[in-house]
Amino acid sequence: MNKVLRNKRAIFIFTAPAAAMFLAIMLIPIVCAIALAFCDWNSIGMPRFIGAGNFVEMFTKDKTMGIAVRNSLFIVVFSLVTQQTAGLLIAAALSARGTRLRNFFKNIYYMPCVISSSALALLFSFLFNPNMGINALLRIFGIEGPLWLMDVSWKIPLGLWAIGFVATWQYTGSSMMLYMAAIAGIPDTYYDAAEIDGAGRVQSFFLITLPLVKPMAKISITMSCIGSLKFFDLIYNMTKGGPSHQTEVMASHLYNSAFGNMRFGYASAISITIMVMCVAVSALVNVLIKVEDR
Amino acid sequence: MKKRQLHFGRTVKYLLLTILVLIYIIPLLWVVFVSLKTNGEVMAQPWSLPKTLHFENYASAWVAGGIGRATLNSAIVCTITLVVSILLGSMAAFSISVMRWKHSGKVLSMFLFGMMVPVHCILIPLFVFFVKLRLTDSYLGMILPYTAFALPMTIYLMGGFFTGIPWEVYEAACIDGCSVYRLFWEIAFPLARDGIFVVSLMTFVGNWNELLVAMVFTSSPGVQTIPVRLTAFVSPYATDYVRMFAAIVLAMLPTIVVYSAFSNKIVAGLTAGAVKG
Amino acid sequence: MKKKALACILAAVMLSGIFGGCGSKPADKTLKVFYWDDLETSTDLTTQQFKAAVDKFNEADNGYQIEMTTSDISNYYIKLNALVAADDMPDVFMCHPGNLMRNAAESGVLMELDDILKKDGWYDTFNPAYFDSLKYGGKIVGLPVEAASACVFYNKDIFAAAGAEIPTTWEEFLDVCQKIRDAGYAPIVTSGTEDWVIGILGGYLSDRNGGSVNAIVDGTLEWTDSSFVEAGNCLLELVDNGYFQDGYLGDSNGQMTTKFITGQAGMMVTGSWAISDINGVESTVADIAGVFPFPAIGGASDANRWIIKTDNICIDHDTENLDAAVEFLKILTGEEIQRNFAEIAGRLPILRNLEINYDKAPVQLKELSDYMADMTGSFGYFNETLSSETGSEFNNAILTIALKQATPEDAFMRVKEVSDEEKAR
Repeated sequence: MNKVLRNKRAIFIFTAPAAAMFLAIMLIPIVCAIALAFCDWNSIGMPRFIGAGNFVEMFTKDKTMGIAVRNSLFIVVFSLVTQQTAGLLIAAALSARGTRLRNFFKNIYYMPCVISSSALALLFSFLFNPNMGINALLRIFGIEGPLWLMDVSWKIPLGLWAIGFVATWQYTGSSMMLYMAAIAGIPDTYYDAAEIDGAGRVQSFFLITLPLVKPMAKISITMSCIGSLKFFDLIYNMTKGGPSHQTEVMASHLYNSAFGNMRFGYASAISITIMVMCVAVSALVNVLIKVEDR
Repeated sequence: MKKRQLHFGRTVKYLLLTILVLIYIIPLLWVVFVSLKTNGEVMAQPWSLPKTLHFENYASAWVAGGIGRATLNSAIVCTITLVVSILLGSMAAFSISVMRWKHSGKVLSMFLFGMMVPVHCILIPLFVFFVKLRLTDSYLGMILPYTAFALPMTIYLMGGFFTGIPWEVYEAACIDGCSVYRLFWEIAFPLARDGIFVVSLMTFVGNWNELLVAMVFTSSPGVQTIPVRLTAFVSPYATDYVRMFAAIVLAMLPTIVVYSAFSNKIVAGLTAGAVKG
Repeated sequence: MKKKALACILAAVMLSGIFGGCGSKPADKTLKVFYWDDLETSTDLTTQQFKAAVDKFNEADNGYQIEMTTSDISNYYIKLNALVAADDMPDVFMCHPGNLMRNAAESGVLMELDDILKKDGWYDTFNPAYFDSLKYGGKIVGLPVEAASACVFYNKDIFAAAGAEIPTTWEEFLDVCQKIRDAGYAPIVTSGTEDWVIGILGGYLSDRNGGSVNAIVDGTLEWTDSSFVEAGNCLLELVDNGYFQDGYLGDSNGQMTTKFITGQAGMMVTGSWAISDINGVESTVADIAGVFPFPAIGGASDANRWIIKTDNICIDHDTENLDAAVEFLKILTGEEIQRNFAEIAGRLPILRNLEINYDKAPVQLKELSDYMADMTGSFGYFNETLSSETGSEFNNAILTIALKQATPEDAFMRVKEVSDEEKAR
């Protein structure tokens, strides 16, 4: 068997097309972006090499970056906790044998992923508007609601929690799909055996489902963390990072630096920070979740 | 006793699932309601039901926004991206996750790194690159970047699914004298079917709503995709929400059909079991 | 026989006319134009006049057809930057005045227009005041297409109901606000979610207190000057007395405008582009809305200084189609299109001595033009005139003052910090 799996020619044929395409398209831009991080450039004329200047500024003078990093980490944790648990639980509930209307439920829960973020941002902006939306509902009960997206009374602004909630609403369906695919791969016979042995539904979940979806969980968690570190659309369309940068995340700070202030070098430096954090988080997940290797 | 417990558990489960459906559907219904109102109504009373049903918003969005052509463009670009990325991606995933070679880890890392790059930062270098290749303002000008962006996730996920196939299956096939190509095409690929559907779904849906690359790389309405055409409803000082939302609903419909088809296939595998002989 | 032949020939000629004559003639060259709104889809009245100019150019027998590229306004500069970086420039493109135009000029992508304008006295048709913010290094780099100024829109019926008169001083202004509030309406509508809206108000408050943005740019005034703190205090007076609409912090520009045009508010401080909203389909105040200049604050202040912004068009420095570009620009700034900008879209034309039929034009335009005839000076929006980071920090400062998250002193100190950092780079 080893001989089959070490077939160098096959390895090349399988890997080369994807690698070639990927490198051909992405290599030059990525190298440019990394190089730009050490330059000052306003998209016109030649970039000016400034060494680690951007990074020094980012870590010592840029207050917004500090806020952005904190907020991005918040989104990572929030998304992880809400989306992964909800996704897994819903997937388990729907995958159970004999669940009626399984397809219907599944397709409805996935639908928000299909809608453009700008439409959702608008929808939820109305929902969180201090005059209308939730506050209008609360007013019926005589409760005066907060400013929601513009509220900055907490350390992590309420607006960020609200956006986190919207992100969960939008993307839980995605984790759900991944977990459903993973659970689909667990043979029914395991569950049959467990039932014969007298295990209840909850027990089966913890003893069979959970361990067997661990590989997929690792992948889903890693992807969720990376996606959260790059999170942009909802933030930009709902609060634009405001008020006064309190809901800024790294990607929106990058966007403002690049396209608002024409500082592409600085923006590239922020990208590098994001990439380094992604690598760090993936490595962390890799260490924390042990999946047996061959 | 057990039956009653079972019943209770089941009722709770369906109750929760239904509440979830409401939580999901109500905002989506709101999108439909907005598309049937007038702009003044949207701003003044966003939550009310439409006073009259302005179906003409849909006709207007279709014609003025060029949504018909845009849907075709989106469909072409997303489908081709999907097919190419699945093909290339699963081959690479198989080789990285199943086959044995020294540098597989490094190659995987290279692809994963691609997933970590924020798009805003490589947008302009990529655009300059494509302008020099004269590939902008064309289908290829979108398909190539989209595929390159999709490969990392495809490889990562498919790798997971290939590893999820029990080792015995691979062993049995090898013992039966399978070549590695047959191992891939006839064993691994079909067995990772659920993975293929999930990845297809995510790639298709992700590219369908992609705005930035499509907007910067294309200029002529003949190739523009739906998200770009949606921005046509945004004027410098006002946004035509009702027609934009009508266009959004029109854009959602094909995607719902496509992803439902894919996702139903995943569930179909649930009762079939994974290991076949 | 002859008749049949004639018919055939006529048919052939007609057919060739249909197939040969539709759209562009085969040998036409293209003029690439980049605009910030979609010409076909948009219902914006200003965009429609631009489209009329494009159509007029295409119909003329000049050997050129215009190839339009459009983007929505928020992605406009991203795309423009990308095109500049890739050396794939449009021949003609729009640009905002102030720091964005300065950036473009610095990079050398803008063609200097002095010589072109001086030919055939084209320059003399313009109102020269509009060129002030379009110069770089003493040379004109952009052409104004139409203008808008920032003013106070007011609802005449609400004023009458509240027994209020048009204020000319700050005290009168506050008094009017109180009267309107007592009458049960929102005195002023503004937007909290889009800080440039409240930034306009902040700009006027600053200027009226002596904080001229041009002086800041020249370096003759510092952000630590008391005029800005005073401006902040004026703003706080409005906030503390509840003179803004309830929930203004959550209102977008669109919602603010809707509240005014549906008759819920006494006043709105925004750019005169709102004239087209006031006269649009959703409005109930078309006949009862008026304008007045932002009042003076304190004795030395001047209510005849206006915030003016022009939408401008520029020519690519390396264009190969200069004559065609100039011809298009002449159409765009010609009397016919300019008259339409005024009469249909409610924009201020940029020509000197243009005859406008004010009966056709929105009522508010006449009032505005009459007031602006007394104009003693003009300046741009703060965030556009200042360099980009300082400009956005200014808007942010105004918002934080309104939100009570910072005192005026602290807010403008922050503006100074950002400005110093930006200059140091």
